[in-house]
Amino acid sequence: MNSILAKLKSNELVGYGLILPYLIYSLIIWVYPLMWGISIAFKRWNIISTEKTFIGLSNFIQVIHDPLFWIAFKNTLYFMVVFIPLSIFLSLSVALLLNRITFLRSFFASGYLISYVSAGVAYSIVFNLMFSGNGIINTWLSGIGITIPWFSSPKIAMASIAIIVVWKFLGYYSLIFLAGLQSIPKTIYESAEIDGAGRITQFFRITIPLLNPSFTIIFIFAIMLSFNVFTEPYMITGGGPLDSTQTFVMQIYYHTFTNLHAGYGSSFAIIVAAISFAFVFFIRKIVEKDIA
Amino acid sequence: MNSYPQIISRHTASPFTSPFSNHLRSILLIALLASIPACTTKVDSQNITYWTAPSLELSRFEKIIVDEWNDSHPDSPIDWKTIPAGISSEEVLLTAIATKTGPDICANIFGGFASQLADAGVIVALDTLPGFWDLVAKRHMTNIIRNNWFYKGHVYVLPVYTNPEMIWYNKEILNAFNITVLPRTYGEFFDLLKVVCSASDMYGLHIDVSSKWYRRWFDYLTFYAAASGGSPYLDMDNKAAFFDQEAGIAVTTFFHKLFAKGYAPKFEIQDGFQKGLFLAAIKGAGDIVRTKRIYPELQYHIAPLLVPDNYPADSPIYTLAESKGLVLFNNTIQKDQAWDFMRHYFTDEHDSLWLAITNYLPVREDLLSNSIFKLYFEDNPEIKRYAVTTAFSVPLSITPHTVQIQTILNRELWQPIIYGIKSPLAASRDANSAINRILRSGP
Repeated sequence: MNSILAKLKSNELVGYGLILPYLIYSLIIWVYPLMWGISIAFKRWNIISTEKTFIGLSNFIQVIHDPLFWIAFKNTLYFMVVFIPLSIFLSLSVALLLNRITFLRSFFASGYLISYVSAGVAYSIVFNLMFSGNGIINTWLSGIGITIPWFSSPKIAMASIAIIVVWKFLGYYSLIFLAGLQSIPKTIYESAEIDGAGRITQFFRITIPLLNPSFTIIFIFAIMLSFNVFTEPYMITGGGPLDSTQTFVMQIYYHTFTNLHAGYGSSFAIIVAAISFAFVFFIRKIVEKDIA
Repeated sequence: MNSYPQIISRHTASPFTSPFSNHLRSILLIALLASIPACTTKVDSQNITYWTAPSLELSRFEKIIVDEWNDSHPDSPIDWKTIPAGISSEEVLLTAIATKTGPDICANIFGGFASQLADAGVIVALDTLPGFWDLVAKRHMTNIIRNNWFYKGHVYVLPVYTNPEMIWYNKEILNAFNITVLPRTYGEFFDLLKVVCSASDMYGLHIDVSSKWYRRWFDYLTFYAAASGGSPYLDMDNKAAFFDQEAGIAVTTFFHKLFAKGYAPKFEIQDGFQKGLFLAAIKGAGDIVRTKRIYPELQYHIAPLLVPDNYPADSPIYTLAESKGLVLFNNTIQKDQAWDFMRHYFTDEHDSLWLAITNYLPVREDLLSNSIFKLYFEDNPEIKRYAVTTAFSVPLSITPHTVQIQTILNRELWQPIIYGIKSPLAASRDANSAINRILRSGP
């Protein structure tokens, strides 16, 4: 131990010292539960008793053959198709607007975060009432002769859930884009203007490419989020209609806390985490560019 | 362009911190401070924690009982709170038990859930506690307990209330169409809907179309109890369900037709019946007090459930009665005091108060004969109608698979029927065989 310490320079020791609290935190909060979760994935355990039975890979095999796993997978892809483009378009639009103003910018920027810090159960109940058959949204729409079955149509229920999640993350993603926009030197726009580039050309040739780090971060966040959607469908639709809003985490929750099969829930979670990681890896390969 | 140098210098210096202004820091600080009490709240170990259903009326009653107890028992006070929000009390409670944050006593527990908790060994067999049968006899519920509440040789729940379901008809709509005789059978009901719904924009029967598992107690299983003449929907001894038998298929066909004809919407309409958008709705006695509070002008008739066209004319019409009660957890430190509180809960005075505040019917065999309720029933004939129905109420089947069974019922039968993607026969058979597999898979 002393020889290792001797090899390290004093500034390295300071560095390791500084990250030590985080390492300890990670070991307690992340690594230990992860290892424990992996260990129970190979067991049959009803979560409220002390008896655990080792059953090998049986849970993993069952998950792969579970039709609801594949339904949740299909629903997650549908969620992504609606959520990612919509959240990126709207949050970029908000960021561009915020970037143009100086008066009360911080007020608006932090104001958009209210949805992000709101309690999921509370706003899910509010949205459920607003979007119900005789809710305020349909009352407005009925004025122009339209009624939308937001949560009762199997075809659009997941899209409705995605809209609510977009609302929640709009402010957060906007701030990431705003930070990216403000890190782009204005001199680049000035040079482009002198070269005769119009606003649209500047947007597509300068802004979008230089926002690549922000796009990459938001893509990664959005994909991870898509695999973790829970509160909104759990509270509003319960996974219906016709399982059209079943998500991975709802299934994990159902098997662990309702069906009392924590081992199965844990193996489900491990498989979902692996798929989520693969998606993130793949998207980074496609989206991430070096803009230095 | 004049402000350009300042903007560049401000934002190139620290691009990622600039938007995080004082406002944002304030919000994050408030959120952090707000989370501290939640992390540090610690219940005094001498206190008995008691959770009840998150309902306005039930909370009014519980507050009185808990205050009364705390005034007379300062050495073993009750820490009372309502069950935190969630899809169902059962799921929230299971999560709490798993994370060791559950209560000592919990109300609002049905027999099936109690059997799940009993199998896991987390609740006390109440019949092993001193004075249990005396308490049951004093409350006049010995036969009810003996017939309906035993699980694997023991009683785990002290039932508080029963809530049989009946049908409400909007009086104003009936008067508008000069209808004086209420329908008894499915055929008569559809004939009535043909008249009412074709002449107006309204729907026929208000039903919760959501796929929440417990909702099936209040529509499909209630109608099953009526159609089957009070037979149980599960045979726990032979581990078999009856949904593919005559009664089950008749009920499935009824709901299939209701949705196919557009007499029930495929989306949820909050308080649709109370708002006059539906002719009829399935309601329990507990709905009366809430309706009176929120829609005091609403006038309605209460009638028995509908039955198939071939149901014998001279037979009584049965219904399903959800029934819930108190359980005591094994890890309770002050078990004797907690049991004392449970015994304190069940008195004639408390039952009278319970009935008046909540309108749910106390689980007692002397409900209609005991003088303590007589005056109340005379003043509230609509609640007496429900009390009379308790004689024809089918209890919920006690099985630890309740949630799984009703989740399957939703998936294989209820939702496909609403959206018309299965025939009634196919839906009944699919649900039945899937439920049989569940019943035969475990203990």
